[in-house]
Amino acid sequence: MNTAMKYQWMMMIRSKWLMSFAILFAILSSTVIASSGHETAGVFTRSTAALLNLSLLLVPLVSLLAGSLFIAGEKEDGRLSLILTYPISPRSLTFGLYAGSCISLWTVIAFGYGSASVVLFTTGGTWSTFFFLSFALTIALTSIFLAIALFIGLVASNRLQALGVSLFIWAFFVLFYEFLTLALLSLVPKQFTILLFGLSVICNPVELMRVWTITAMKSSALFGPQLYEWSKWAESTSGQLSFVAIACVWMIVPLFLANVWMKRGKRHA
Amino acid sequence: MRSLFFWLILIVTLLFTKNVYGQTVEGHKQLQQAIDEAHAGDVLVVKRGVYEGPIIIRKPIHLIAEPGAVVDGDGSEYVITIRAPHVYIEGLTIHRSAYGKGAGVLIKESSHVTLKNVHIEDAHYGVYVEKGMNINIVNNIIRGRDVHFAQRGNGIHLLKTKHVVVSQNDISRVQDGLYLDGAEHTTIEKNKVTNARYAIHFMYAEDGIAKENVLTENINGIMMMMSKRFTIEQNTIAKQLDYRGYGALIYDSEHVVMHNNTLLYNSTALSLQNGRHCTIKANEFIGNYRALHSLYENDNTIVVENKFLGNMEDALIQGAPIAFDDGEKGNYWDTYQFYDLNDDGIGDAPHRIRSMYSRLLRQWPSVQFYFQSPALALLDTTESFFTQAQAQGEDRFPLMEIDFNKNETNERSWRLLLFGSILLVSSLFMFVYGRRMKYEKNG
Repeated sequence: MNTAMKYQWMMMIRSKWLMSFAILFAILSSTVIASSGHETAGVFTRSTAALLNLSLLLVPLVSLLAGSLFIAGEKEDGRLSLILTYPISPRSLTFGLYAGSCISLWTVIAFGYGSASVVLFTTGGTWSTFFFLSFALTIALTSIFLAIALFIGLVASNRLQALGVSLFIWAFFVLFYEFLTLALLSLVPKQFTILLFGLSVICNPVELMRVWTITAMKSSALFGPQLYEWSKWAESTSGQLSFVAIACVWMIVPLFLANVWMKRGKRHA
Repeated sequence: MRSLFFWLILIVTLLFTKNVYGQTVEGHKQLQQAIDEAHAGDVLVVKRGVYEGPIIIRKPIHLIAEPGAVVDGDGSEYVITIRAPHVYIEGLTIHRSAYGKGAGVLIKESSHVTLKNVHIEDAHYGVYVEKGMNINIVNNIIRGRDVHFAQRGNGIHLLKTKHVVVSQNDISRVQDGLYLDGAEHTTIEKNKVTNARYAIHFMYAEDGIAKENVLTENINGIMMMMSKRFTIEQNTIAKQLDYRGYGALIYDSEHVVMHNNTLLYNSTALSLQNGRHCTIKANEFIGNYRALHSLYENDNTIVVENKFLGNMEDALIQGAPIAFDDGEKGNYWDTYQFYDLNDDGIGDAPHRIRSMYSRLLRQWPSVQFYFQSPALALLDTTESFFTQAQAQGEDRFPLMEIDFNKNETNERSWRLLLFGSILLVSSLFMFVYGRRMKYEKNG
């Protein structure tokens, strides 16, 4: 696992593509925060929403692309098959590759958040727990999407396929999903509204992170009177623990599937 | 020399007169008895100790309490009742009125009464003033009971009063912090109210000023109903985050001037409902879910020179349109996207207040769940570029610049720098380490 992790980490961190993204992310987050960072407080505001949205839009995209393209590339070039012939268990390989990608992407995210915080400091902004919370949840979001990406990369037969699937999944989760939920909402009877929202949060890691951030900041008054009871529950400890549990499921399931696929590959190798 | 000596003796005598006349009340002597025995105008010094309530004061008297002097109501309706003019109470701790009724202090049909540095705890109402005139309620601490709002009394309740000054009080755990019912010429300044249903509740109140109060974490900060001629200035109204709540709600009131207030992080900062001749000027609306809400008709109401910064939604106008400029100046909107080429400080195009989001919301209230979510934010932005959504209102003279007349110090947050530096240094280390790392075959 250690070897595979180091290998993946080294390959990804040396990629010019990821470096460019690190710089882009740092510039974007610094700009967003510097242009709207006048007001920071323990509650969810437009500037926090702007930074959160930046993370919610970019982080899944980059995690999916970076993760899946690297693995699909390895596969396409035959290096993965080569590694599989080594005396290394599929499980160590899967988790090693995953850990390596995580370290690389976390580094990029930390760089972005670090730059944004320093920029905000120089423009006279104040500390808010939001930064830490948002950073931690972005790290979690990265981890979830890297797990999904790993699975996509392993299943896809080449880079192009991995790219297509990744882009589709990104667009589905980030852009289409909410409109689909809204469309469903107009179809289902009123008493199912909360159930539908609950399900929509569980079924989409992007939604999960968005709602988690808002509830963790105790700002779920934002969700309006209809969801008052639900919001109170989501802000409570059991609600927050449920978020943790769902996030874990979102990480473990794709990893498990990837591991299954890897085993199959090993058998065929 | 002799006359000088005479004067000296006279001065010393006068200086000590107060104490000679001022009786000292101690634990063994009941406070009520001491008050009954005192003459009008006497000063009673109340020593440390617990005194049995209820106490009724029917003559002009001064009660000066030493620290630790407590009047215990033991569940009686009113712990202290004042039914005489020129009563002065200072430094007393008052606790335990009846449950569900009564008050720490009842001031009834009196004038020139002062309550100062009084600590009221575990009472239904804090101070209940009925038909009082020239009452001063200054620098008191009032704590209600930790029960549901419906079971609490008000902090300071003014019923049919005139010329009352409520200043520098610290009130929490009550139903309404201050309740003005038919109160005239009231001055409310520098009070702090938190954990109340309404921090300040005006009902048929006329003429007065609410200044420099700090109202935080209540359901409503200011609730003004059927009131007239009030000035609300330089208050900080923050974190009224309950979904039912408002920073300030002005309902069916007239000639209300709200200026230079800071409305921060409220679910709805200000709602105008049937206001007449109201002026909303030079306030700061920052980081609210919705900054301004207008319902029904608000005749001759003007919203001008305010700063709208970082609000999720700037305005929701559900009734008749209201004026966002006075013909020369409008407001500062951080969502305004246009230029000021002639450099006169006024944007060259009117600011149209609109949002796709609020239109959707009216159709499907559940959309609120997606407030500023990536997809809806994207839709909102796209829509603002390509279509002409119906504007909620129009500011013809949007201000381009704002000067923050901030009273808050712009201190630098070292925690922010520390957080940023740790992240930057560790990420750079990981970059460098990762790039220099050598891959050894087979581990």
